[in-house]
Amino acid sequence: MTPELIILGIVVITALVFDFTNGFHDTGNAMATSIATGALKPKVAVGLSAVLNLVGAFLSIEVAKTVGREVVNLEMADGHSLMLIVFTGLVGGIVWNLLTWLLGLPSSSSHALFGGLIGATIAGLGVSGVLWAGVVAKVIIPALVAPVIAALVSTVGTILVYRLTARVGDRQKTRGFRWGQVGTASLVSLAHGTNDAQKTMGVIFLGLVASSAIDPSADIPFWVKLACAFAIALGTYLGGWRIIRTLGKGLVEIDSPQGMAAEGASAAIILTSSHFGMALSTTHVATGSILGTGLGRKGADVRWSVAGRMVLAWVITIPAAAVVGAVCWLIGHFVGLVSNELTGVLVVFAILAALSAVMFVRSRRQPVHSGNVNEQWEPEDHDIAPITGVLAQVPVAAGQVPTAHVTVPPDDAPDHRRASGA
Amino acid sequence: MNDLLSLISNIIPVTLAGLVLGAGMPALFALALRISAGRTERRPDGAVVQVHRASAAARILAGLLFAVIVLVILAGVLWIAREYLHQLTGLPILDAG
Repeated sequence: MTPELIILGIVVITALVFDFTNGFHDTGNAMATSIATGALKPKVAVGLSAVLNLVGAFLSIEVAKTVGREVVNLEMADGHSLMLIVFTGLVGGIVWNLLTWLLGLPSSSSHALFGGLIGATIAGLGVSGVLWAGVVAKVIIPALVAPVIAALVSTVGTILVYRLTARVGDRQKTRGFRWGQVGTASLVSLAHGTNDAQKTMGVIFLGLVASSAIDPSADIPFWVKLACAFAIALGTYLGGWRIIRTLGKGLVEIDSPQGMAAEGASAAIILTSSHFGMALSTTHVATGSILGTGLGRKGADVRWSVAGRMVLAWVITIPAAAVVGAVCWLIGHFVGLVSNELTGVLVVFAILAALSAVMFVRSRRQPVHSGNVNEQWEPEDHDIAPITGVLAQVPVAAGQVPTAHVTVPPDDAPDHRRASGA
Repeated sequence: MNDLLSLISNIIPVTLAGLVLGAGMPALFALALRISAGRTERRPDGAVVQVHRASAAARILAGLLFAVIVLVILAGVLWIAREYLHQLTGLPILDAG
């Protein structure tokens, strides 16, 4: 086995790890509302979402062979340096995804990947390697636009839905909207699988081309599709419970009509936006929709401190992932210079493994899982909490619900009763 | 710069499509629920309960609306799978290909 082949193997594995984090980071985009309103049991929701992501991934045809080409000029790099850039870029994306997951913050996985690639490119090729016009057009403007459009659509939808069903019996209303929620959330999951898995397929393809293992004009090998589809589905099934909790309970208290309005808005925008030449991030759309559904319902409070932390996380996603990507590139490059390339890659891989382990251990201290994901969100006294404030919102332990709140009625209780507890 | 302008001008169709489908379909769903709700009354504790079922005609109408919504969701699935289906069958599905 040549060192080149081992490096390629490590890059492929790292890409699949990124795909996996992409899966659990984004489960909440589709399923947080259904879980929060009790439309689906948490385990059923993530299972459904995983299956739909798997199916969606196989439906990807126009695989993004050009992934990242809008933001970085990778043509400037030859095979070896391209491998290191792609690899350390992925590491930057993964580290940021894990950190935001630990903090329970939904941030865009695509942004994390782009950020990592941008940082590694700046370190490896210099600032001229970054296509700044592309960054503005493909990343920054869509990120500014997505939450606003989604919030608007979802606010309008929520207002209409509540107006129209004011005189519908509670039982019928809850049952009907739960079905609606499941349908719309499923659509979001399917679209997610199609959109996001193909990014990783593109990254692996890039690695295969860089190592001359495949011709640039070749089709994506089937094993790449298979591996990416399963990695994202597995990640989705694991469920990013911390993020699901923030989206479903932290931002606004959601009832099933709001849940349907939010997922309906998300599904429609995600599916139509790319057709109009503006591909919007699933995370930004979903978050905007959930926010909007809080704005559209009388008496529903949006926790702006939580929203503020999310926005802060979005803003720093690209620079932060870029810093990690750049630092990893420098480490990999210089270790590579004093010893050999393979050692450089292995050292960076070891750093990734160590950081992942640290964050996993840290998450075990305050675990969020399917059993406590819907626990009451604590009122926040300090409104301008630091970004880590979300950590404090991790439930103490299942069953230790604070007594300050009225008893939460069972899942099938009418909406207004569930809302009265909030 | 031109690219930037065209990108910004794309905001309008994205928003309109979002409003029509993203807010319109949930509203249509809500309307169907309203039509099939029958007679309801508000209890003193704020609960709304059904006291009389909807007429057969109302239920049929609501059923039709639900069917429209299901069709739109199926269209969404077809839209997601359009390129895959195009490759599989060679048929031009929803402009794919």
